Amino acid sequence: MHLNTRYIAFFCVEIVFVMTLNQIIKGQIARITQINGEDAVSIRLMEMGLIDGEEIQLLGKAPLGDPLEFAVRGYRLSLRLNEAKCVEVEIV
Amino acid sequence: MTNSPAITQKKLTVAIIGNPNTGKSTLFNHLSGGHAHIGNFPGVTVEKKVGSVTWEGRSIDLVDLPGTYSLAPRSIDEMVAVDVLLGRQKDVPLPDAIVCIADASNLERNLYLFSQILDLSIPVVLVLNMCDLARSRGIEIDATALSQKLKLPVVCTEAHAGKGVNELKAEIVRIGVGEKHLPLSLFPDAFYHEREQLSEKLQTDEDGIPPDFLVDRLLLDVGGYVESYFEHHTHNGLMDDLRQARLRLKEAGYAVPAMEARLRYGWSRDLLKDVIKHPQEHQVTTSDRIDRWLTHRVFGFLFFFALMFFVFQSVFTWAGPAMDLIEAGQGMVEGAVESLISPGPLRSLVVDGVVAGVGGVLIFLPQIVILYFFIAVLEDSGYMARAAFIMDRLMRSLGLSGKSFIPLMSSFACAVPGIMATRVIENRHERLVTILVAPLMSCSARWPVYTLFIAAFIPNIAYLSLAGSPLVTLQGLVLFGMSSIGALVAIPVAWFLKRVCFKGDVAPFVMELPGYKWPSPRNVILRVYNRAKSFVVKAGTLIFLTSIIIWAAGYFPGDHSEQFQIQQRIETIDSKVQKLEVEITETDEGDQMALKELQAQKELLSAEQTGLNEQQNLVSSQLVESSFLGQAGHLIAPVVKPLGWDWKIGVGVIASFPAREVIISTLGTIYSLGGDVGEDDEGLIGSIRAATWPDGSKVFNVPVAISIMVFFALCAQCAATLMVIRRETNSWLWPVISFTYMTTLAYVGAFISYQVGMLF
Repeated sequence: MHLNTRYIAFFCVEIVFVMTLNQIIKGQIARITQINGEDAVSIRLMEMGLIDGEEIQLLGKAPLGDPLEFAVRGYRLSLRLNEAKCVEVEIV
Repeated sequence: MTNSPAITQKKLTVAIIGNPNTGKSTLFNHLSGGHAHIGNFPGVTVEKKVGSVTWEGRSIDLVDLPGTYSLAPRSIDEMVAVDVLLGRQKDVPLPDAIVCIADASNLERNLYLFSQILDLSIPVVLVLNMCDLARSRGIEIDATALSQKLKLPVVCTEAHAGKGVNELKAEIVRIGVGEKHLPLSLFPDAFYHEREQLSEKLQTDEDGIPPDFLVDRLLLDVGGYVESYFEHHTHNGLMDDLRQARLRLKEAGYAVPAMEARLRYGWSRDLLKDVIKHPQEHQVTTSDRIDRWLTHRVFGFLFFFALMFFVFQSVFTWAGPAMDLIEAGQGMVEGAVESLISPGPLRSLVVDGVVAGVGGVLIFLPQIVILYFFIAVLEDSGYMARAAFIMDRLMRSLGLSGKSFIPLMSSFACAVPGIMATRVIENRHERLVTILVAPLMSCSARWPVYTLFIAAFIPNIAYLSLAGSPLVTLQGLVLFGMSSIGALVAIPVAWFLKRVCFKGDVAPFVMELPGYKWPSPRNVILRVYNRAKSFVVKAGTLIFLTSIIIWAAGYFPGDHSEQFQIQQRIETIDSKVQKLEVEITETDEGDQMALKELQAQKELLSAEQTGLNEQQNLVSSQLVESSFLGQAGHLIAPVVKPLGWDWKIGVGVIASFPAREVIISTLGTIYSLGGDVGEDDEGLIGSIRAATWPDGSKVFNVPVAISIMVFFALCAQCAATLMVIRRETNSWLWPVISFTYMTTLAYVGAFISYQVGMLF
């Protein structure tokens, strides 16, 4: 029982600390920590320059709230919420 | 000059590659002088643009490759660029040089592709395009220092103004005969060790040793096209070898696929360190400020829909005069042919077959030109990417993406340019779904059909009036309903195709939003010209052929001598009447006797002419009935009976295969009026209303009219569209599928309309 609670607590801490790109708010600048996965989307994101250590800023959203517009490496990139979820970030 | 040794030198092949939105096509147009051959790469849907030029006595073939962010192919279409660069694409020789075009204002990301190109060890020149834009953003680039660091030529250009193009030409000729450079070799030794081992294993196959670059791609692109290619073409167990190789690399600290992006971006950052000066980071540009309005929650939508409305309105209003002109020209050509050739099979072929058929398609050219003008301006200015951005959420509910919106919108004018506009969609499945539903959008060729049957059968009841002029009428509502039915049906069709036929393929929407800029007039004109030309040539040749076939089917095997005699007599009377008219105007007004005499003569001739016309119409309709087309009509009579149609409507539908509008003239011929009737022709409306079944009951009523309109709203009666589908997909499969599914839909729709309509 005791072990179980600790396990749950550990899990929650994990969830609180991992922030993804879809969670940042307009104007906020975040630093990329990791991109998850080996799928086509992740590879495409890395090709577009979303590498760990790189800073990325949310500039705005499309009228229906999705996709999002970001500034990264001096250019403007649009991503869907779903794709932004693959990118782990920390707020600068 | 003629003995110049340069002439005898080998022809150079130069490949042009670059990221999307780098001004690649503008630069290509400058380099090729606007003379490019456009076609498809064999076996794929990718456009092949080749421009042949001669610089400094050397003849050069410029091959324009599709814009791409990376050389890691994920589909057969993306493989084209790699195949061309490796000399593996049939009918394109191995390039002697590569021109890599990069956006100077966005160099770091553009160098990713460039670093992959360096690994090919083919002579390469790096072009920094849009240098003016970079400067205006406060970015300073030392091109000389960059060139020295790279040990490769670097040229700054401003393609839209034609600046730097001559320097680039000189550089291309120079590197084309230069030495190859060494590959970049950014990867750790462990990687090259794995590559060597894999190469050895692949050597046993009939293809021989694959190029190093392909083996690199095999190792690096997890789930990519190269992997699946080798999986099908090589020994069993390759996937195991590959998995183990990747695992070993991961254990050594070089995990695939992250390794490549990390190393290449690290390289480009190092390279640019002392070469480029950026203004402070996270700067708000003018483009950003415009975007805050154009992608705004409220204003963004308002602007978007206002713009779309303006484009549509312009397509219809601006095209009107030009379309009238083409129609008048068509009439003049017909008149000229009739005065040159006496009635007979040849004249019938030229007038009823060729001129009518080709003219029926050419009439849409003004609309296509205007629409393409807008599309080119929107694309060149950078707004098209925003349109995709704004519409993405809505289009996704259909399983499509924002990129499908513009092609579908274009299809409301005509599906031909709409299908050509699907080239902006990189994902093959998404593009196919868009191509398959585009012909359902209600194009302008359906309007003649709607107007005829609405005018004949739908009562003109006004529901809402303002100051005596009706605002909402039943006729208007039916017209609106018919125009939207295709778009409504497209929703479940797209959904079905995406969820059932092209399952499990969710295309990412990772797209650059380029900075706004003024469109280049030269680029816009060239693109409109090329599209218009390909429309006229490709659609024209096909319509030409089908028109002749349909003409022949409606002409043979009947004996037309009686028809020609009547026609001859009508024309003799015609000239007599004209002569009389001249005499009447020339006769002195005081000479009442002579005037009366002449007028009486004229009336007599007119009466005879009316009689002959009626006789001719009767003979024409009998000839059509006995023709192959008429026989086919009788053959399909039982099939169209459940739709409430008689064999004559069936013939109209068969004959209108090349283009929907043809049904009007065919119905005119069959309902014994001659083919020369328009959709608002009182005579045709009258005779359609009067048509009866053999038992005396009326053929046409409201359900039959609705059933015909619904059929034409959903059917694929447009040879030009089917041909363009064939060309854009490079396969006969898709036009056949389009035709089959749309005809089925049209039949079912017409059946339901008629059967349900008859219940009331």
